[in-house]
Amino acid sequence: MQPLLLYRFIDKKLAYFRLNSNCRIHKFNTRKGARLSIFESAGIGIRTRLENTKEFYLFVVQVFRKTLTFHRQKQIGFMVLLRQIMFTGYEALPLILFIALSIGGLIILEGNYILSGFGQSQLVYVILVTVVIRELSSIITALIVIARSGTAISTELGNMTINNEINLLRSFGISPISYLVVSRFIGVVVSMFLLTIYFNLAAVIGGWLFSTIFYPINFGYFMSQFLYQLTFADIIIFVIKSIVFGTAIALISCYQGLKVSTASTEVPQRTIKAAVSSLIAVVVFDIIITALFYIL
Amino acid sequence: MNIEIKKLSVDIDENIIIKNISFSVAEHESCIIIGSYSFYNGILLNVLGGFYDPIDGTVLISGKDIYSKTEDEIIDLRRKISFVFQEGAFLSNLTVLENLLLPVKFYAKKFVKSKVMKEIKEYCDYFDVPAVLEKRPSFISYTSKKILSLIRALITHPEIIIINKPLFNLDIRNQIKVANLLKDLKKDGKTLIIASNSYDVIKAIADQVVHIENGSIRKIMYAKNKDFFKEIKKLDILSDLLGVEDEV
Amino acid sequence: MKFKFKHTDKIVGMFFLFAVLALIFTLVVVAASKRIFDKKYYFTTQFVDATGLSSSTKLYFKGYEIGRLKKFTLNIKNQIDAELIIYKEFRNKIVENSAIFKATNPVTGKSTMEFLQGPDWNKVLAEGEYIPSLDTPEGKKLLKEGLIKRSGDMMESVLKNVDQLLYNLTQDNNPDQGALSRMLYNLANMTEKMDVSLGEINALLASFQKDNNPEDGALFRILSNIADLTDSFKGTAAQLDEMLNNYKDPDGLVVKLIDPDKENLIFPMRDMLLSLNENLTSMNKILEFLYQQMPEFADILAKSKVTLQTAQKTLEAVNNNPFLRGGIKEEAPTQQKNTKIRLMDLDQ
Repeated sequence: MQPLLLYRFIDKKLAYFRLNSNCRIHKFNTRKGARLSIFESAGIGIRTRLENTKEFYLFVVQVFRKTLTFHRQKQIGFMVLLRQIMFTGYEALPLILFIALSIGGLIILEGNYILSGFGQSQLVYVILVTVVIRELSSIITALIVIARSGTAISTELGNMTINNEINLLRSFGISPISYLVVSRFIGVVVSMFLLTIYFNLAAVIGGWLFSTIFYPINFGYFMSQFLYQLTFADIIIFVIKSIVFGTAIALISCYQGLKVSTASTEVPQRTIKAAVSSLIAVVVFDIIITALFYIL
Repeated sequence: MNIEIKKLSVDIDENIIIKNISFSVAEHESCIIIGSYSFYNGILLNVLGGFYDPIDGTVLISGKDIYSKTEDEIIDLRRKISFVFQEGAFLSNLTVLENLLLPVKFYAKKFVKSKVMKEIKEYCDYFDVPAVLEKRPSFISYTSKKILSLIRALITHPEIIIINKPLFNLDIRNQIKVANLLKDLKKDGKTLIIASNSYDVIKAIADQVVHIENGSIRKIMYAKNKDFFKEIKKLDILSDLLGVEDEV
Repeated sequence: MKFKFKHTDKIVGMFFLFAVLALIFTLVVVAASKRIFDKKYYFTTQFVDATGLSSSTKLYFKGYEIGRLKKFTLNIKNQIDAELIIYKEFRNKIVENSAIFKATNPVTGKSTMEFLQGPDWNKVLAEGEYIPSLDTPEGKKLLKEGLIKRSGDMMESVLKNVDQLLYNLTQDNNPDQGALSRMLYNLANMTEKMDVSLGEINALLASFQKDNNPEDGALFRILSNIADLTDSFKGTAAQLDEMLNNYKDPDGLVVKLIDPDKENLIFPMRDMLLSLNENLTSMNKILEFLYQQMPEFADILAKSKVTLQTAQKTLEAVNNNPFLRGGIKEEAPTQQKNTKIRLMDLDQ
């Protein structure tokens, strides 16, 4: 069968092109059987990429639109949303807590060791805030979410496409974007946000636990020192990062999942693509957000 | 609701499988699409259902061009159309019952479960479907899936029913039951579009038969014509498994 | 698994609620610690450069955080115009003739500001008024006139005092201001022209013994006094001998051990003192350089403090052993004045 026409979910007024644009461009640009010149193939490559980007952009626009009207279809998607949060968020919690406790502890340990040499032990809280709260919490949570949920989402949607389930939904007049994508999108974003909070909590507690190994330190004192170093900017940054990362992971995974067309062999390929693209997106957005913060 | 197909061309990976075909199905009428390569007919049904884009031409349902509108704009139309997939298609993460209730819930302004359950039970009794409603789709037989997907299509009370191979995957007992059911649906005034190479189905309900070969319409046959059955019997692509000619 | 499916909403609800409550709690605590809800008063100041400044740079007074920087801009004269926020409870501390001192942490590169309160604690400055910083001539004037003191009685005292010392070192083209150089000058003057009478020396020593008054630096005063006295004495070798003879201390025994030619002990010791003097001068330069590079390089300064103390003790020894004097090379005599700079503050 022909690839699923993803763009059909998208506003027709915005999109008059087809998903399998590769084939089309190929057809329009080449004589049958003729070998492509380097310029032709480069041109086709660029054009395909541009069209894919445009398609992804339209997909994103559509997801955002449907997200705004999600509350109207509560009876359909709400349970899916809860299950998504359950799977992406709650079930990832033990792993997140374990990693966060260890990372928080290790940073305090290493930080203390290095900084006490300068007589600047109080800076360990600065490091905890800067490294864990601002950077590591959202990045590591994003990695775990990609590994657990991003791949799961693209695999699931890919298999659903192959099993005609997407068409089934469309035959009911249920938009696959509002039924499948929006609930997963909100679920992943909310889970990312919540997990990042848990990560930070666990990292701070881990930091305290590990520092008590070396010298007994009152939890209240530790927290007061930590909160003294914590600023609104730190909180805003990690909240923004977690939401942006969650958005990127959810959108990319859903998009790649829906791009599966006919063969089940496409599913793992698309899953790999989803994971890799999500990773790149997360790192790029991290750099952008951090840079923006320092510029502004 | 009538359906009009205008100069439709459909492709699969650059291969044109349907070339420039046009026909229409009037309200309350039934149309059977036959052809030696029935997979392509299934794709044609997908095009009629609005989820497979043609490269050229379009489909008008009640005069509305479904391919120039967004999904949101044709939701109202979709609610009046039921689609039965060849293999029944179920959402695997829901139970069978949740699958059946999904479109009804989605359409109903006020969803009364007991009323729908009663209807489902009646159909299940008619088909002798085992108690599988609480099971996941992967744990039920293909026969049950096919029947349940038909039931799912009917409980939304659509005006148009598009069925891809209604007798596919069914045992003979159920084939008879489905054929009879189609007859009832026709009597109820539903517009039916069916892709099937079954002589029994044609015999039961056909108002017109569209014969597609090599992507083009070879012939459109109308039941009101005198020599309709003669023409049909001449076709060697039809199966007549039931042999219930007189019965149906 | 079944349990999870059955109670999905409850589990997700708890999962959500706990995290959100934790976040809200943190936000409230941070808001409270950043005094978001307090009424604030605004003042302006000016700095020479914005190194280490950020919108969250805090203003301290006696160890309390009394306010913070709000914003700062580079004006047309290339000065940094800064707006300060003062918290409600410290608003009355902002009085006339006060100043702001900016210090930068060498490791983080972040600055803190210290508020130096003016003498008239009841003349509260109106909101929006200008508080000079020590970077500006107005601030320096206040410091020079003694209207504000760089007190080291609270936190950061060591850092701030060393900082002030080094600040003065950079001003050392003026002998009136440079503490360390002055000390060296004094030493030179004193040792070279040492023809102080026994009584005067005794008086000085007595003063030195008595002096445990933290308000003033003992050694420093001694040095100053000696310097003041130098002009009035016309010393000769004979007078020195006489002085040494009259000296009652065990030092007299040492003198007897010294050979008349002074070649075996006195001259080598004189060379040592010369070398010490050079070392101190070099260190002075190093510290000056460090001050220019990183004004508050705390760690180095902490060590230099020890060195300075050692140097101080050596100089005391020199001071207390008149027969060793005369070994330091000649330096231009300088007129000394009293100063507020106190080396002894380092020990606090």
